[in-house]
Amino acid sequence: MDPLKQFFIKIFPEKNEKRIISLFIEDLSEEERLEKLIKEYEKESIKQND
Amino acid sequence: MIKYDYKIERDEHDVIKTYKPNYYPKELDNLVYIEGRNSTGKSTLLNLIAFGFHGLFKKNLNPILKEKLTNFIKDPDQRYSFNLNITDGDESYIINSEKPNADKEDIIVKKVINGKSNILTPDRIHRDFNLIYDIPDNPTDKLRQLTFDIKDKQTEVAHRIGAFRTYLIDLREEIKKGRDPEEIIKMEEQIKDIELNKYKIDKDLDTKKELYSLFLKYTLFKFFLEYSKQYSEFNNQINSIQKGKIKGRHDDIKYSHELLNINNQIEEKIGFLQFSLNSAISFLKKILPSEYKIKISSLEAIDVHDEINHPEIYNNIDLLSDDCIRLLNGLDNDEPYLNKSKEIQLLNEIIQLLKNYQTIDIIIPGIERNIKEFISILNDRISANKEFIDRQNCYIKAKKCLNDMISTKNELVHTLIPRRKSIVELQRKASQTYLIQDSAKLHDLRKDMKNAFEKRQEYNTRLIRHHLEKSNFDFEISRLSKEILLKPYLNYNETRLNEIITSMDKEIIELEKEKRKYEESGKYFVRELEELKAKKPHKYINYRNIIDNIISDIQKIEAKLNKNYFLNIKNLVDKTIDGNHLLEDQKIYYEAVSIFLAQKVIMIRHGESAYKVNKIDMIKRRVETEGGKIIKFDNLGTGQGQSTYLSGLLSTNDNRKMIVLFDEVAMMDAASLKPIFDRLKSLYKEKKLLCGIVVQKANSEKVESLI
Repeated sequence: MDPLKQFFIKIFPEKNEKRIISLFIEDLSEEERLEKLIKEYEKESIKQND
Repeated sequence: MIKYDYKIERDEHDVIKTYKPNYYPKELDNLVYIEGRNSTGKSTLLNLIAFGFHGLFKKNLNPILKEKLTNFIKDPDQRYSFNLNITDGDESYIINSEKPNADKEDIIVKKVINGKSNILTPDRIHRDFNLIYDIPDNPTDKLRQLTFDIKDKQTEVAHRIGAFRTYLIDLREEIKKGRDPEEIIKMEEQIKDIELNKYKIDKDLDTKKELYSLFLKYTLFKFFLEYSKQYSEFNNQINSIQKGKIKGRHDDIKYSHELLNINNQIEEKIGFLQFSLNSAISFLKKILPSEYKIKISSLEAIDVHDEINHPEIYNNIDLLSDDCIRLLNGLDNDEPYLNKSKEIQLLNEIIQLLKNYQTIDIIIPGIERNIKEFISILNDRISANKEFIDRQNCYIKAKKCLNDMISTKNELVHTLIPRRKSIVELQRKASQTYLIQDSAKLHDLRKDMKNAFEKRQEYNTRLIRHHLEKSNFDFEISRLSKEILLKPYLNYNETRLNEIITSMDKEIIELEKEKRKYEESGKYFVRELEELKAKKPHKYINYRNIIDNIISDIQKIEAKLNKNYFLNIKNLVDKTIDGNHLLEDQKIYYEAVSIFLAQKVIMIRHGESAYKVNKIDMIKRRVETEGGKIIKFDNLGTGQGQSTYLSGLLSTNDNRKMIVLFDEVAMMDAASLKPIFDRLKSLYKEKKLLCGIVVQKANSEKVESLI
């Protein structure tokens, strides 16, 4: 994995922070980031409801 | 393939010298190692390639190199031009960079694909290519420079997060503007609430207005009437006083005349009294025998003014006059006097009778004389009694004078003087009426009347303003007094009643304001609701909560990046960290930095061996290897340090194609250079490297392809 990405994941060790920060290391469009985050949050929500 | 050519004209003041690439081939492989003596053009080649890729626009360029490049282009004694063509390894494109005119600063960079060229701006170049141009001097400090990647990335990520937060906030606003079923329900409930509140206010307003109307009517009627009455009453009193004043003035004048008249009468009577007294004294002196002289003296001692003004003390006129009259009556009452008196009376009566006939010429028998002659004889007889007659006259006149004295004094004392007193008193009263007595009262009354008038006007204005008809006041007040709502307030005074009216008025205005607010917001929400219903739902409508959560989460990350982590990396670069007092999250952070640097460097040579690096701890200034070996920076050889640094530079993981230019790697031996060459070869094979040139000082010129 890219050392910089690893670095950011290490300084944001909390799960939610980790998945958010990963999206900002990559060069994505805002909408792509949003779509990915929505999916992640939805998954998380389903897990919590289960 | 790297094809290049250049021409530099340098004014060395004794001569203008031209430099061209004479020592090295003008065509080189994409990855080469060059050795050579000083001033053979090694660094010039690297500089031109750096210019060719707009190296001066690169962030974090080695400051020594940046200064060298800047001095090169700004040297007034130097003119230069160049042409550079680098063909990509798989020959898919050519980068052509040239400065055709030695007198102009313009450098044109083009990317040529299949003969078609596009100009590349400096910004575009640095987006597509990663120019790594460095001199690995002071290697431990250079290691610190590897952390610039972290600093840059942190800044970039923070910017991206900030931009994303703005995007999400805008998105949330857009969602709000779209059709939102929840918002519709919420808005419908709000409209219901508004209607309910409006209804409550309406009811409250009706009750308050009714009470206010009763209060107002009652108060205005009551006090309009009261002040009208007061005004009228004060007016009447003033009129009455004013009329009294006029009468008083008339009376004053009348009594003045009367007083003048009575004074004249009194003066006249006093004069007459004095005259009578003097006459009486004169007559009495003639007729009274000497033994009665004392009486005359007493009369002479009378002061007429004392007798009149103080009758209770002085009563001599009455007493002395009576006394003298009695005396005179006694003196003229003897027989001879009476006979003589009768004789003279008879003679006078005969004369009077005869005078009626004296024109008749007849002779009176017995005396043989005519009438005239007989009258003359009778007159002679009377004249013979002249003394008696005179005395008799004195008696008569003295009595008359004494009687006049008594009657005049009585008239003065009992009639005229009291009358004068009475007139004086009446006049005094009349004067007081119009001069002094009522002035103060009149002033107060006028003041009261003015006040009553103003108050009446005030109530009149208020009655007109409230469209209340001014009639049947008594009836209306009586009717209003029976109103149950007003009962508790009937005993309140004017001020209190008006205070209540003012307070109720304010309350009604406030309620009406509130009602209008509800009406306005009701209309607004109805309009909004209609608009909302007419809208299409936003594509993210169902993700509002998630978006809100994301905003909240990224704000926390943003705060950490911009505050804590920004300071952490800054302190590391500035060497201002106290390693003994690190907070827990700082420890985590710097641990991550150590690992990041290790991943950049990968391998390190120490002594005869190479080690895989686990951590490069910039705070403790040491390297930790995979096998647990700890190598302090101070124990690293310069060449090893340079090698470590250059390895780090080559460990970038972005997608840009690299152009690597390493100058003056003289401190590095073959063993230290090997990992660098290996890394470059590997990058070239992975098609991540466009070109790479490593330059070393040597005693002779050599070009070695590394491909």
